[in-house]
Amino acid sequence: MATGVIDVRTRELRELVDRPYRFIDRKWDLMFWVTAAFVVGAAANITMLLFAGDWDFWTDWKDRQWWMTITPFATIIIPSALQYIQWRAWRFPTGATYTAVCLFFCTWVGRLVQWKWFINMPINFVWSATWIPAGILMDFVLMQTRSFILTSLIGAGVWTMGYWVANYIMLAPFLQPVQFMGHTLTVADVQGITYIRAQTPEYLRVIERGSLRTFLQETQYVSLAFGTTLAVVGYWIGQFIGRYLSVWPILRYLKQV
Amino acid sequence: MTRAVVSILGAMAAAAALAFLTATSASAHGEKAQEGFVRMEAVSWWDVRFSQTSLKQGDQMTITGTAKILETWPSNMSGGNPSVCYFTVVEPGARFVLVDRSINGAETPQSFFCHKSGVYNFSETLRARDPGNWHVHPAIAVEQSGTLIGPGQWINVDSTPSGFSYPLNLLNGGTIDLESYGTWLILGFSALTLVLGMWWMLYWTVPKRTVTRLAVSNQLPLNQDGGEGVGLITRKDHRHMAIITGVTVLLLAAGFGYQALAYPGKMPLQTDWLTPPDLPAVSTFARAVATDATYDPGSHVMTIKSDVTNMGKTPVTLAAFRTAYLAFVNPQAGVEESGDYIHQLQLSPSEDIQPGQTSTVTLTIPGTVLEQEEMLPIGKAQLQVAGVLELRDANGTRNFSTVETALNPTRT
Repeated sequence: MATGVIDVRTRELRELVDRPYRFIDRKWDLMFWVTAAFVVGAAANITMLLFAGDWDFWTDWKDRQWWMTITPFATIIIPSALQYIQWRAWRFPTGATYTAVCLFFCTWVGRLVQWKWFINMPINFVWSATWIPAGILMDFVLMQTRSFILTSLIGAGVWTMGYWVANYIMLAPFLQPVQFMGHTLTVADVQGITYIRAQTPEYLRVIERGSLRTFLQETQYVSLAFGTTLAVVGYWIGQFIGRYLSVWPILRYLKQV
Repeated sequence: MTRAVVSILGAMAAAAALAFLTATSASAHGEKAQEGFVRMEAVSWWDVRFSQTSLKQGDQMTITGTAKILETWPSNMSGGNPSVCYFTVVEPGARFVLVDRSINGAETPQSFFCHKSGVYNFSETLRARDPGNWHVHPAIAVEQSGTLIGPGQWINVDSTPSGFSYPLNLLNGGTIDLESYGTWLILGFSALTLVLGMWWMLYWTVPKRTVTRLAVSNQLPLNQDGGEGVGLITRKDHRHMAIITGVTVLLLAAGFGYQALAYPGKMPLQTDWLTPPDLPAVSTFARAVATDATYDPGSHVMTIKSDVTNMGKTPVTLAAFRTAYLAFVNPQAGVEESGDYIHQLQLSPSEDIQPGQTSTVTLTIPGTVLEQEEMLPIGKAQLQVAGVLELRDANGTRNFSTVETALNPTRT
């Protein structure tokens, strides 16, 4: 009897999935995805700029200690919110990838227009990081676990690692040593010195300067661990935004209607 | 509807055209936004020279000069005690690249430790990058305060057929062009990740409906997708996503392996901060103390009274009053400087101060210059003037005496 009830219920839901709608056609879908792209891209970009802007702007800020501690936290908030919204509404495991793709276009337009065309900074100095591999990995975790708790724990880790690996590949050429003004520096350091940022003097860089706490001289991996922990916190900030600042007010409104 | 869209687009195009037509080359870099008393009390500049004012792309020019962090440094900036500084250049975008910088003779690629009363002879070598007419200033940035600029100069850069390149020798012996190094790796790898992201997104959004799935999702617990029977997420979806995820992991693994092989010997970012050497000591043969300053808005004249004491063996001339990036020079003193930032003052009495003598000298300074530079602190939080009095003995040796006094306007 119970099996029969479940089957009927399942069949009803299946019919709903396949039901042709007369007025709600694919134009609504297109309109949603395209218009939301601007909002999501802007939200993700603003969040990143607020917390980790300079680490993403310049190669000479992408250090071992702070870049991977701060940036995953700053950039996981909106993907997490979108994961909840898109999973809750449509069971799409797409929130993180969608945010990453929107952010990709948003940041690259900014870099090309603001930095390259307006003030002619070389693009290899002001390139934007990519979040897309991290987004795919985190969406895959949600799809497999169907759990936001597990996604916050595992997903935050793959987000941080995916983000670091993807962008370290592009950063690697700029960590080559070079002799400049009698000092041995990295190519990235030279970029920061030679391409003049009048209002961003070198001392403003929040980067590794060394300390007695060397963490067995494994700064990079300790930072990734810290970054993952902070990303878990960021993930739940995003969940709060998705659940209580986005979906809950809409549902409350719909119930009133 | 169409007419409205066309009207809006037309208005935007007209506004953009108007903005470009009325825009002029940048000739100021925000220095006037800084309060006058801050500029006067913080840093004084002298002997600033540009080796060239016209050059071709790739040519080099050098800016030399001296900046002093005054003893009158404002107490509300950097806690009243500047400690980390950075010599830079203010220009409209990356029109020049900085290829060399020394402070008091020491190569200083990055920040340096500084202090109140510190005197820094600087040299900054720039290479012209973009054709155009650019206004360039030397500047000193001070941690927890901001950037204070020195005297500026228009520099004309002509284009060359070969354009601009920036060869740089790596420690491993290779030579790169810093203008384009690594760009294709960045663009290529980013594009590959975009392909994967678009693949993931298009898989879910093109063949599947979006908005109408809400009617089904709403009826399921949050941690369920209904399985194959409901069809929100199917086994095929799982297979497809596993493939994209696998390709993503492979891309990351291949990329990481590539960078490890292609770029061995990487090192972390460097922070080579240093303390520049002190300049050779100059014997103090004269000193000045400002006792009073007034400003008359009607006649646009500022006067500063200063007691000047000659402790040397030859007569002393008050050669100039230097405040921020401005200099008001005594025309009788033979100061060999010229430029937009050099103006004249009048002295009373105008005679030299004899050895052992203390003389009260009144400096009369054209207020229009100070008004144009928004340097007068009238209406501001501190009614004070400050700067450096340049004193010269008969041998041409110079002493720089920092002065500060209250400014009393005849009316506010």
